[in-house]
Amino acid sequence: MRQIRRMNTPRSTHTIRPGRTLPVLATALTLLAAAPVHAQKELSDASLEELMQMPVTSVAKKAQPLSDAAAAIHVITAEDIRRSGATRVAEALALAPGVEFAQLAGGISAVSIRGFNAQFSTKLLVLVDGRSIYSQLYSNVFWDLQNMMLEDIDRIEVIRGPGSTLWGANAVNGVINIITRSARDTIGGLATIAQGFEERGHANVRYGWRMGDYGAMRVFAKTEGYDQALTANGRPAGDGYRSQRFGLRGDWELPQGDRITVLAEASHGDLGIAFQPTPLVPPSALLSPNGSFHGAFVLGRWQRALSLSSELSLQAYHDRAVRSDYNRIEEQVTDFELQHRTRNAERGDFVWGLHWRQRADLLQHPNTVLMDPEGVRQSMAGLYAQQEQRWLDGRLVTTVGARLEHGYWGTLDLQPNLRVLAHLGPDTRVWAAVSGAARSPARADVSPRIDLPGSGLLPGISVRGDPEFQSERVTTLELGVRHLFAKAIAVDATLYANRYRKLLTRRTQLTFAPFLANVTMLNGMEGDAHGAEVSATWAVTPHWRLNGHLAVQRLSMHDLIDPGSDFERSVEGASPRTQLSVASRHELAEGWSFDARARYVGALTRPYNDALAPERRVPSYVDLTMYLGWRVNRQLELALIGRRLAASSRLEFVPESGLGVTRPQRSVMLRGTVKF
Amino acid sequence: MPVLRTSAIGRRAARAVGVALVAALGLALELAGPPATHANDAAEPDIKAAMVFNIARFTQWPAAALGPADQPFTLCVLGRDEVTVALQALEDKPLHGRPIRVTPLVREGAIGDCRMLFVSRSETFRLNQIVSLLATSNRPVLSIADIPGFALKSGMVNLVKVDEKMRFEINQKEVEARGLTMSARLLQLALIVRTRNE
Repeated sequence: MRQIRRMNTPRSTHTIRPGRTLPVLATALTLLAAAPVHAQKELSDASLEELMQMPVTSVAKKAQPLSDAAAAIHVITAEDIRRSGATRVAEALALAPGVEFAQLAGGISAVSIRGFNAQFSTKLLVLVDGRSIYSQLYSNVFWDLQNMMLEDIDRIEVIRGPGSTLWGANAVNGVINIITRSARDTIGGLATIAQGFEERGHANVRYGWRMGDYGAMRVFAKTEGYDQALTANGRPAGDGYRSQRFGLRGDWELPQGDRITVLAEASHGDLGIAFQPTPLVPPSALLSPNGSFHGAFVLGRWQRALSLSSELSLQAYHDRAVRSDYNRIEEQVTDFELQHRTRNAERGDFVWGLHWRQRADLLQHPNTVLMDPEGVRQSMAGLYAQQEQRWLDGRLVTTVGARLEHGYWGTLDLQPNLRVLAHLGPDTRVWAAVSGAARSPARADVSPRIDLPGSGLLPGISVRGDPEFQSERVTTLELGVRHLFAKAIAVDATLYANRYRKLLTRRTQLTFAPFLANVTMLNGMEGDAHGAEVSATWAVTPHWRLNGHLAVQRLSMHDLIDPGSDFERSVEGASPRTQLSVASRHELAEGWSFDARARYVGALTRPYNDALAPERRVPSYVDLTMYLGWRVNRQLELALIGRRLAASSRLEFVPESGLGVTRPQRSVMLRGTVKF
Repeated sequence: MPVLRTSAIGRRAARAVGVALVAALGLALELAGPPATHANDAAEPDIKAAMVFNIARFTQWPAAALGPADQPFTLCVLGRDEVTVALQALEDKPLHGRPIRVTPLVREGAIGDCRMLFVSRSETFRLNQIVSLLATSNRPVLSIADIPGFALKSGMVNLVKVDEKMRFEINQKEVEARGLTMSARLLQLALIVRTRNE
């Protein structure tokens, strides 16, 4: 709940007579709009008796109201996730427009928004129930550790563009909020089992119960396994893995004005490692062919109603994870946040907050030093405030806010945003924003100290971090339009232009005595990016819905140290220039439902790679997903889901580390869900 | 490499055909006619919003409480969720001869402007405060909450889901104590939690 309110402006409370302006996309959509639109009886005209006889569905029956957020936001619903067949949370993110997703070896995913996709994708912040899962070790999310229970997710809010004012540093190109359901909404039992060509022995069980009049608790346990993918040459990649997780969530809504949430989870897994030696990561670097992880977190949140329209929220969490593959990584985070929010009908929301986080890590390898020092304990602090202001009876809403953050490495970053949203008639919203965000230095930018001796004709390698590394910065301009055509077709379009400064680059210098490639991290690159994202949803009939997403982008990088370097091209070429998806969702008779989704992902011209490794191109592909669901009765639901149907296997990405290049395979999965 | 290129085009064509087949299947399913079994179901927030409207339709306010006929009928809303978004669609619909105006309640003093108050589920933790606020209003306010048990806690009506269908509970005693009258039909359909005699 907390997350979406940060971005939403208060809903409009009045209607403006239609002065139907159809901006930008009108021409493109004339054809669609001209198509016959299913006449829908207004539900409020139904009688009470009729309403009481209507079965409640979780499926939206008509076009949803236009969002009043002055940002490019898309919400993935629980229903979307269930019917996508996604078994890992990262896969579900690809349901949102503009999200770049590629499956790498062993559950590792490359996920980004608006470019810069990589295994260590540094510019996308991800939060689960207010807890950051973005690691400051390599500036990435370890997606293979995030095997959360998808059935517990209420929704995923995907915000493209900077979100650092409210959510903190590293929300450079976007922020993703994964929000799980309140324990009060998961009373009773749920069990799911699934088996597929690739998905092996998936089972989870959840049970929730009421605690007194105002509280509820749920506990869950989950196990899942995955078959190995293929290597680029079509051999088994050895990256199959299994993981287990169990946890609980408690929620109390005490009527005297307190809301309390408690979350705790523990997980562990055995990871198969698809490993590909490169000069930077020689075979001796691998600890063992089998990796593993274990982790746990506990989170508490207390909200206190100060008045009808204001509340104070205090949140604390501790998160610890250990992951071993080619090295052993241990990372711990302790985080406190205080937030005060006030609503005001005439003016708008005002929110301010204080944030403090401490992290500790330890990076070890038995044979070599990777970072200097091996372990650190460091802290950061932030202060933010944002004011909404409503003008012209709420037809115009402005948002002004900024966050000042003192980072782990002594950086001081101001991350402001200025947003304007206007209602042009009841069915049109136009918004614009200018915002700035920072990607704070990671340990991998500051601390690396690797010395590998050469062998034969190959030079040795020496890698050094930059103790003076500064935050990467972006300034973003955005312009968005939303329009509802004929109450049935909702179109949401965004244009953006990004200016990046102080981007990470690597300088490589050869010395001959000794024969050594010296690699140094630097704030040595600038860049521009611009693009457009369009998504459209058409409620063709109450039981048939079509939607389409299009994202196009161009990146242009300028290496200031070594103009025209490989590093420029590897950033520019790591993300598809075009992504397009078309999906159909159908409710059939007798509890049957059918979805189909096709997704085109443009070619990657020069994915990230070690300077010395062979260059690889990832061809464009079309992904085809189908879902056939049957609700047998109120307790039992069966689903047959086919994914990656267009080809038996395909290359989606070439990771930049020593991780082996793999080809994920086609899969058909049968899933049963029982409620008890 | 012309051979490779041809096969790549072939594969693409095959994929395009696959996509077209799915689209055709979707269209065929659609043309087969709307399935009768769920022509009737609806999304939960929409049903709840429609119920709120209907409950208000079958409730009578004392003539003086509604004010002059040119005044809008103010539906105050506490909290923000999918139901309050669905309630926005009631804006300008006529109710008791007046256009509905949906407005968020943010100041306690503004309760006097509300003819009706909807409390969303997100406000459960403010329940005590809301109940005591309602007691201070000198004009009758029809209070409806999407919170089970609200009608037992000196609220008037709460929505409740029973066997995947929406029902509502009425605290008749509270309704009548505030000078509102509900039609016999409404009371008949409701799950009464407290009668006027209790």
